[in-house]
Amino acid sequence: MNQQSGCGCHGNQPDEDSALKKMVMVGNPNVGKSALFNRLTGSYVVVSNYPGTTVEVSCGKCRIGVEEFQVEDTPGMYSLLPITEEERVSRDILLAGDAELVLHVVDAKNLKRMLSFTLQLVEAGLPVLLVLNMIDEAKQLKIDIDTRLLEEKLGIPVVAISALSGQGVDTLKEKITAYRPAQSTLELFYGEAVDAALNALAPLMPAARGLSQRTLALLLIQGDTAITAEERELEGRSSDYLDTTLVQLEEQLEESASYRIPMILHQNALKICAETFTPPLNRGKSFANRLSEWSMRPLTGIPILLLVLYFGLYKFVGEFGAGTIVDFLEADLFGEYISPWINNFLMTYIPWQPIRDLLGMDYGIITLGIRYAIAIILPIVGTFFIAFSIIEDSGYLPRLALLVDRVFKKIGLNGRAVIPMTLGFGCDTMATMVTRTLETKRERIIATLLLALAIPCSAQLGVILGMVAEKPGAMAVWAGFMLFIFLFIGFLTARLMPGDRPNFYMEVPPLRMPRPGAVFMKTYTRMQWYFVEILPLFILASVLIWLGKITATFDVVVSWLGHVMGWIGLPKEAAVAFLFGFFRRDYGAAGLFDLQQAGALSGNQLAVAVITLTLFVPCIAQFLIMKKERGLKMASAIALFIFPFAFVIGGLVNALLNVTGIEL
Amino acid sequence: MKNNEQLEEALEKLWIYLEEKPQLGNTSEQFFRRELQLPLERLVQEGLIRVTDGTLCLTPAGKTEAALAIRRHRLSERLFHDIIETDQGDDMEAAACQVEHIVKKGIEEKICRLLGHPETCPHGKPIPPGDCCRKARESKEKFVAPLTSLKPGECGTIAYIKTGDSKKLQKLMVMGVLPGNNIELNASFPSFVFSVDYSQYAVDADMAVAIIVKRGGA
Repeated sequence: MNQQSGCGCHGNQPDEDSALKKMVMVGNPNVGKSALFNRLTGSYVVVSNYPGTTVEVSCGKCRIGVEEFQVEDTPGMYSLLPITEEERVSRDILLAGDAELVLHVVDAKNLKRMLSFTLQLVEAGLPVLLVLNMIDEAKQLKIDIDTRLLEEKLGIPVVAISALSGQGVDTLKEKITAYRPAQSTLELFYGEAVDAALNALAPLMPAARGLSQRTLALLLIQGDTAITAEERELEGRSSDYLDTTLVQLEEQLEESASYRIPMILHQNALKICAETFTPPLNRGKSFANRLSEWSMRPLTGIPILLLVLYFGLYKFVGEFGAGTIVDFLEADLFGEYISPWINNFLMTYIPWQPIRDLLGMDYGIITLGIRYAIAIILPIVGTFFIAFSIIEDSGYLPRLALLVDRVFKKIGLNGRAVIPMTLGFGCDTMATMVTRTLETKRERIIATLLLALAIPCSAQLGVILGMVAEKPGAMAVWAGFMLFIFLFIGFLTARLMPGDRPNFYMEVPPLRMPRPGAVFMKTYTRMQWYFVEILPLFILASVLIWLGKITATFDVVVSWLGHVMGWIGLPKEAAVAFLFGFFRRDYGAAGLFDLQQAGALSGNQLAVAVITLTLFVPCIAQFLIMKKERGLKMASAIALFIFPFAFVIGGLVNALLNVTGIEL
Repeated sequence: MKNNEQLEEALEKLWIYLEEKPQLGNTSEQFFRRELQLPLERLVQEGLIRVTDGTLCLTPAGKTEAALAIRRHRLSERLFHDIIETDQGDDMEAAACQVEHIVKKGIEEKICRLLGHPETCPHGKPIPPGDCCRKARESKEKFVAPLTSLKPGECGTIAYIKTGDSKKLQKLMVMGVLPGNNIELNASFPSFVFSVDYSQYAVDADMAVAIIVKRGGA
C-alpha cells in the first residue's frame, strides 16, 4: 500500500505539473527505490525489506538547485520484459516516453546481475543515470566498484549512494542537474540471425515512443504479448510479414530468443563488471546469516514463527495494546471522565433529546464513534502496525513465504501470497490492493476471497484477542476454526477454479536490523492513512444509527437480526454489534468487546460470536477496493457468499458445541 | 539387426513383468506367448529365460541383458526429454524406441554421464545403474545434476537451464540464474533456497529442478 499514490500518476492527464521535468525511478524489486524517492522528495512512501512493497506509482516533487522535477517511483521490475502486472505498469511508464531522466537504481553489491537491465535501458535510448544504492552494505562486504570506469564503459553518469543514510545524495543531485542526454546510443550485437530480424522489424515498430524501435523489436522477438498485440492492432498490413519473420528467426536460432537475448546482455554485463567490480576474496558467516538459515528450516523456522507470533501479536498487540492501553483509555479516560462529562454537558445545556443522542448517550458520535476510534481501535491498530513494521523491515516475511509455500500451493496460491495475507492482519483493505503483486487472475481472486472471509484485520484481531484472552478454550476454538476455514475454503476454491499454478520464486533479502526512525515513520504514515479512512466512517455510522433510531428502523433491523442471533445462540444485544460490523469490521468487533466487558457472553457464545464476526462481511472500504480491483461482479459474488456463510458456520459451531456438551 | 531389435524389445517386456511388476502375476508362458513378438523358444535357446511348469523366469544372463536393454531405453528417453526437450508423450517414446537400439556400450556410458547418471526415466521408473554410475558414486565424480539433487551447503556452476516454458526461463534468468554463474544451495526443504552472487532466492521444486548444475567448485 502506498500512501502517496493518490496523485494519479497513471496516464498522461494534463495538469499543472506537466510543465515540470519528469524523472522516473526504475529498478529491481527491493533495491531501495522508495527510500531514494523519500530522500529526494522529502515526502514519505512506505519502504520495507521485501520485494513488491510498491504496487502503485507514487509521485512527488523535488527541487534541485533552481530546477523543480516531478519524481515518479515505480514498482520493481527485473527487465523490460514484464512478468507480473505491476512490472507492466512500470514498463508502460517508460513506454509512454515523457521522462526526461530515468534513474536506474541498483543494489551495488548485485551490480553484476542488475547491469543487464541498465544495458537494456541504455540500448532503448532512454536518458539513464545509474544509481548504485546501498553502497555502504557493499563496502562492508569489502566490494570495490570503480564508478568512473563504469561511467566510461556505459556512457552514462553513475553515482554511488546510500539512500537510507543519505551518503552520496548530494553528488547525485549535482549529476542530475548536469545531465545531458548521450549523443550516441549503445547497440549490442545479438548474432547474425537476431540482427537480421531486428533490421527487418524495427522500421515497422511505432516511432516516437519512450523505447527505441530497435528495443520494441527486441521485445517483440522475445514474445512480449503486449507489444505483439499493440503492433497487430496498429498496422493491419504487416501481421503476416511479422509472423514469417519471427518464424524464420526461430528456425535460424539454436536456442530460443528469450534465452539468447538475456544471455548476450548478461555476457556484456559480466565483461563490464570484470573491470569495474572487485569482489572480496572470501566471505565469513555473520550472526545474521546464521539466523537467516535458522528461519528457513522448518525445524527451527516454525519455533521462530511461533515466537514472532507470541511476542509480536499476542504479547504486544493482544496484551499490551488491547489490554493495558485500551483499559486505560476506555475505562479510565472515556469511562470516568470524557463520556460522563459529555453526557452531563448535553443534559444541562441541550434541551433536545435527538441532539443529545446524536452527540452523546449510548450511540452518539463522541461517546460511540470517537470513543471506538480512539480508545479501542487506535491502540490496537497502532501496536499492530509497530509490530508489523519491525517484522517487515527485518526481512522476515520472504522467509515466512518460503516456509509456507507448500501449504499455500494446496489452496491455489503460492508462497508469494504470504505478503498480502500477513498484511491482511493489519488491514484487509490494504492487503486487497497488494494482491496485485500475485501473478495470475486465479490467485488474485482466491487471495481476495480469503482476505474477505478468513483474515481478521488488526483492529478486529486485537479486539478479539482482548475478548478471548481470559478464555483460552474459546481462543483455541476460534483460532482452530479460522485456520480450518482458511485452508478448507482455499482448497475448495482452488479445486473449483481451474487455471495455471504459477511457480514460487522470491528474492530473500538479507536480515537487517530495523531502524527505529523508519519503523516510526512507517507506523505513523500507516496510522494516518488508517485514520483518515476510518474516522469519517465511524462518525457516519454513528449518524446512521442515530437516524435509524429516531426513525425506528434501527430497532426493526436489530430485532430482525436478533432472530438470527438467537438461532446461532447469541444474546439479542449482539445484533447491534453485527449491525455495526457492516460499517467496519473493527466497529463490530468493538461493539462485541463492549458486550463482553459487560459480562453478557458465556464462553461458548464468545467463541460463536468471534467466529461469526471474523467471517462476516468485509467492511465497506474493503468492499470498495474489492470492487475496484476485481470488478463489481466478483466483489458482489464474494460478499454474497460470505454473508450467509458466516452465520451458517456460526450456527454450526454453536450446534457442535451444544451436541458435544463442551463448555468453554 | 531386425532380429536384435525384437529381442531387445522382448527383454524389456520380460524385465517389466518379471522384475518390476511381479505382483501383477503375469508370469505365465501363455501370457508371454501373446505379448512377445518372437517365439519363446528362441529366448530359451539363447539361454535368457527358463520355463518351468508353464511359468517364465529370467536366467542370470537374461537378467543382465534385460537390465541393459531397459537401461538403454530409459536413458534414451531421458536424453530426449532433458536435452533435446521433446514433448513428453508419443514423440519422446517413439524417438527413444529408435535410438535405444543403436546405442552401444561406450555411447551409453557417455550419455549416462552427460545426463548426470540419472536414477529414473522421465516417467519416474528406475533406470538400472551401469558401471559408470557406480564408479561415479564412489569417486564423487563431478557431473551435472539438477539443483534439487545437491545437498544444502553444496556449491556448483550453473550448466544450463532446462525448461521449455519461456515464462519460467525468464524468471530464472532475471534472478541471475545463467550458465557459468556460481550457485550455492542453502536449503532444500520446504523450499529450495540458493545464492547467486550476493543475492539469495527461494524457489519451489518445480523451478529448482530446471536449474542444472555442474557440481563442485567454490
